[in-house]
Amino acid sequence: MASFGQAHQITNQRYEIPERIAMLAQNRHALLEAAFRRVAKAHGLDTHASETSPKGGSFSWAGMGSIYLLRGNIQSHCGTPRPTNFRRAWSSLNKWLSPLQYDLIDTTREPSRDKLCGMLVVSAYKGRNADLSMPAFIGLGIPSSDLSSWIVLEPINKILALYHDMETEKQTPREAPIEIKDRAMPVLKKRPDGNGA
Amino acid sequence: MRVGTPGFQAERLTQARDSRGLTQTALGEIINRTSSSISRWENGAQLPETEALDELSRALNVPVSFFMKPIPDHGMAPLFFRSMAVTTQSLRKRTQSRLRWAQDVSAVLQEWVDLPHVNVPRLDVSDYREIKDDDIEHIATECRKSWELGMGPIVDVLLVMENAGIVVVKEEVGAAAMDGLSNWSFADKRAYIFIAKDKDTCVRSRMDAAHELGHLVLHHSIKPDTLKSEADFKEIERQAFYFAGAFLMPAESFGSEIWSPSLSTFLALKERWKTSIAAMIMRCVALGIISEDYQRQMWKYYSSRGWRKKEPLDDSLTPENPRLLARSVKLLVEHNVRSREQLLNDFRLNAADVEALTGLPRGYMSNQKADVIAFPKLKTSSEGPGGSGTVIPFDRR
Repeated sequence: MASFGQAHQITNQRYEIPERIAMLAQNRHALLEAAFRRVAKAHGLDTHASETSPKGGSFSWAGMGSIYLLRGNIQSHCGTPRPTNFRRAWSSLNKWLSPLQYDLIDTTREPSRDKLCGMLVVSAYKGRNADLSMPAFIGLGIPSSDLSSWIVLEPINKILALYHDMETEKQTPREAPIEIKDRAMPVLKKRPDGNGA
Repeated sequence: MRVGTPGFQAERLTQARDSRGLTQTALGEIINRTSSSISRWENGAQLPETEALDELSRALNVPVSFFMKPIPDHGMAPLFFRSMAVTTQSLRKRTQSRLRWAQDVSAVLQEWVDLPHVNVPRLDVSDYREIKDDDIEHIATECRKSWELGMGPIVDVLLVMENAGIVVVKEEVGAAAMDGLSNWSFADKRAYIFIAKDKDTCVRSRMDAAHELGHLVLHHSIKPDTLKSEADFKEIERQAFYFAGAFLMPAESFGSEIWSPSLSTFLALKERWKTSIAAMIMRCVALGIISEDYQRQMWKYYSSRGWRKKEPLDDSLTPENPRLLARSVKLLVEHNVRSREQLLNDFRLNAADVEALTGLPRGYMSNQKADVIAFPKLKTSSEGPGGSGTVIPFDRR
């Protein structure tokens, strides 16, 4: 989210209006990639920036065990990611998630591999009046092996909230609300004239 | 020569006029007198004659005896208004008068009943600039300890306050700009909180009450002459708001539940802590859990979801209500210590005002049931206006 804001700020400061749209996209890409590697590394993941072939840029990925994470921009409608060679190569790891059904009886084939390619998805707002300083969507997805669809795509908040509940309920016990005794009771005064209790 | 009514208390006229939200000119027009007459009666330069007093009584809907009731000495403790910057002078005067009336009602009741002992921790600081955020965190924790609340969510904030001897009044003031008002009365050494009921959601009313509690705890000893500029009021409002956050959401317990500060997380915690998502964002900023930049983004998301107007769960969480004054009146009536009529004579207010200020059901003081309006009944005859259609049965085959 900070990278989006930063890219917007840098672009507005450094570039003239005609070049801004193109440079905004490039700045976003660069800052998001750097932030992605930095955060992944800080949390103990292996991070890499592979050069694309044919050359044209580099794309980052992070991994732990047999789970790999890429970063991808998609449009605000949350469609499928652009099928670059780099993404296609990594998403092919997910082939086992969509096994071919060879016949009507044989439906339970064991997955041949346990590797998984996830994708951190960040999408931008579009349109003349769109707020370009913040992302339209941040989520975590698992693309199908041919990048034709998402097997799963969930907003990051929803995923974090699952961990939040796990953390607070199982690891740090919540402070229980204390029952409040009702002491807001007026009491009749004892009066010498006999009035009152 | 016209003779004025002896015993007339000029300040009572101002109080009644303010309470009804009328200007001197408007009141003058209602009773067919000049505004300067009203002004002379209010500043004590002249006493209204008996007929004028009757007219004032009718126009302001208070008994004539109200104008003879001496004003108790409430002392010099400042009155704190929430949303001071946006409230109008007339609204502030109106709310202040209503609070004074509630204090009068409470004073009468305390002649017959003992209310809970006042137990409110206070910061003994005469200049608000000496109050640091750490002091506020500390005294908020002190309140929780003193009232044995633990560190979890508070089930009923208004009950906690009334248990501590604070008299709480909740009433509609006719404007959404006013949230609340508080005051320590010198007359009975008791704290009073007035909460506007106009935007009555559970989380808002709890925050308003906690905010006013903040004034009572933090600014009890503040000298009124230290509050001069807009900046002074802004800062004491910030301090009271900070207190409310610290009291309702303690750093150690609430902070540890914020694993990932997102709107979804806050929404999930709203039902448990009964504080608004906006208040949770502010508390996270105060605790350093989220940065200024992240906060800005969060407010954008918050606005884009339309939550500035209404947050989720606002309709489903039940608002809290005060109970102390209503219980006192009922206790006296049900034990035949004072009848309703006697109490109304003691209060020198009309039944509707007493019911509104004490939170009693409408009609309780006048012993009248609410008007029941019968629903119109459907005519049983088929010959209604214009006649009815004829039912033609299908042919059976």
